[in-house]
Amino acid sequence: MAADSIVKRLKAPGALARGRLADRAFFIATFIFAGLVLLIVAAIFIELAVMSWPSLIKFGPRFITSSDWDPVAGKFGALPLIFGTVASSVIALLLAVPLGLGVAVFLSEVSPPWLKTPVGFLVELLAGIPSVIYGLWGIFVLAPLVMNHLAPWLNHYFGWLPLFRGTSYGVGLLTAGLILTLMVLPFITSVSREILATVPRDQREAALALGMTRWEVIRHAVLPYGRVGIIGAVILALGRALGETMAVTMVIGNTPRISASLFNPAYSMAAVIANEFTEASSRLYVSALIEVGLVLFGVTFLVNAAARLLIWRVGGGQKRARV
Amino acid sequence: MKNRVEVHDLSAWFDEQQVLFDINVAIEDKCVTAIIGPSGCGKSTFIRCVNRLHETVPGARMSGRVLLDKDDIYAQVVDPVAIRKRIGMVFQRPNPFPTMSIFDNVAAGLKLNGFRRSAELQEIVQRSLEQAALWDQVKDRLGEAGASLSGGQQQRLCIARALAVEPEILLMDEPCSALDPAATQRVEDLLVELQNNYAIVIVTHNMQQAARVSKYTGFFLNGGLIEFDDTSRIFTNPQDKRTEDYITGRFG
Repeated sequence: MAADSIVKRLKAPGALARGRLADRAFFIATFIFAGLVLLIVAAIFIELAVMSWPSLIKFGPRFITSSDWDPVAGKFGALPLIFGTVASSVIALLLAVPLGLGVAVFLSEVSPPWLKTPVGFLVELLAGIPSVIYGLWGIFVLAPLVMNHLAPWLNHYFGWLPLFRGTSYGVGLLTAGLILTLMVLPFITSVSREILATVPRDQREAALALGMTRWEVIRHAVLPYGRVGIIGAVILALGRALGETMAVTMVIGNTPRISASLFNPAYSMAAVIANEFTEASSRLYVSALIEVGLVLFGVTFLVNAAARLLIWRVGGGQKRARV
Repeated sequence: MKNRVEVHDLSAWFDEQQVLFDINVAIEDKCVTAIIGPSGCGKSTFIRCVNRLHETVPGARMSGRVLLDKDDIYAQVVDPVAIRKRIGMVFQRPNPFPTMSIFDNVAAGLKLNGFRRSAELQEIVQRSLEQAALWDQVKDRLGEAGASLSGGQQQRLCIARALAVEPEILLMDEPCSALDPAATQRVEDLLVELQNNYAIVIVTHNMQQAARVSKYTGFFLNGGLIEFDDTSRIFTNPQDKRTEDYITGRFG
């Protein structure tokens, strides 16, 4: 009887109307939240463009093609900064993707159970360390290590490559890339690990039943199944690397110059803004720094768009396949 | 007829729970052996012990002996990977590799074995797809994704994939349970073909299927092999009361 009346009450016209109203309110609320994100991104872009207007007018496209960054002489060419940002991020990804993916595969496929939790925890702890700590560690530990051991070694064996010519003074592009490697590693590892955990058991068993070894199962069944998600993890890491400011500023050398050797000091977009904003004396200097911010915004946007396109193309095959 | 597989005192566990109890049975060459029984009776675990797949599940273990042509496949020196290359398996749900094309799905096991010469590879892929009665439907679109096929075609793709590595034994774990009657019919026709070349063990929920395709039938209940005999005898004159109850539909 009681249950009967509950059902009746649920189906009463008033209850249904209330439900519809709640649905409507829910839709509107979440729509506003989502819309807010769009508005904020648009506002940042507009603000950057407006504030950098004097520099935009004065330098035009030369701003990103000229490599002459000389605030004293009033010359602002951001190419070395773009180079520094992109090159340090590329170094970081080249090292962090195999390393991070390797750790993820170890944790999800190979590791004995008792080791999974502590190693996984430590990797995620890496993500929580403030970047200024990475920077300090970079200055006091990593930079001397690069100067005294890594750079001479690379120079000795791979000196025939322009990348490893000359001497390192510790701070420079290579050191910045190495610091970034450590900083993005936890993103790649923890996201990839989640992705690998979602690969269904029947995929692994299909591979095992064909007589695949553990490595072959990972190579032919597990990684291909998770590839879209893994690319997502790499994009997340790339976004982090492109925008990282503090740690990079402390170890990259802060010299606006493009050079082939990774041992030489360089400068990144985020670092130049952080370093020079307080001392920017003229209106043009300030607006040039803001334009650097605009360019960084643009580079990040382009990289993300390119990555989305990649995911869409890779994932497109799968989507078509699922029909 | 000679026995390809002999199972002696096979027991199996998932963690502390025992799911198979002292199974003794022999699988004959060049015929179909059906394994029937209600859900959870250990049928799947039984065939997964025959290709050493059971042990890949965390917490799973077994005891007893499984002989493939008189050699113990659980002996210390035996590599389970080598065993699985000799004993193919088809699963309950079709599980083609979603990122691979139809061709690559079939060739997946061959490429591992260092097969790179494309002419030979193509020949084997075609033969395997023909054996699986799928060639005519896919020959013009071998480059398309394996997962673009219908469920029944996917299952035959998985059969082709298993056949491509030329196993000696073929294990099938309810291969038709996710298929419609027409697709089921085609897979059954296939079994009749394939038994000329392979020893086949098929786990099935469907007693009519067992009666149609198999020469021998084993009835599992609660982890034990209750009765094993010629299929005709199991279905017409079972010796055990429980077998009779099951096949007459009194439970399960």
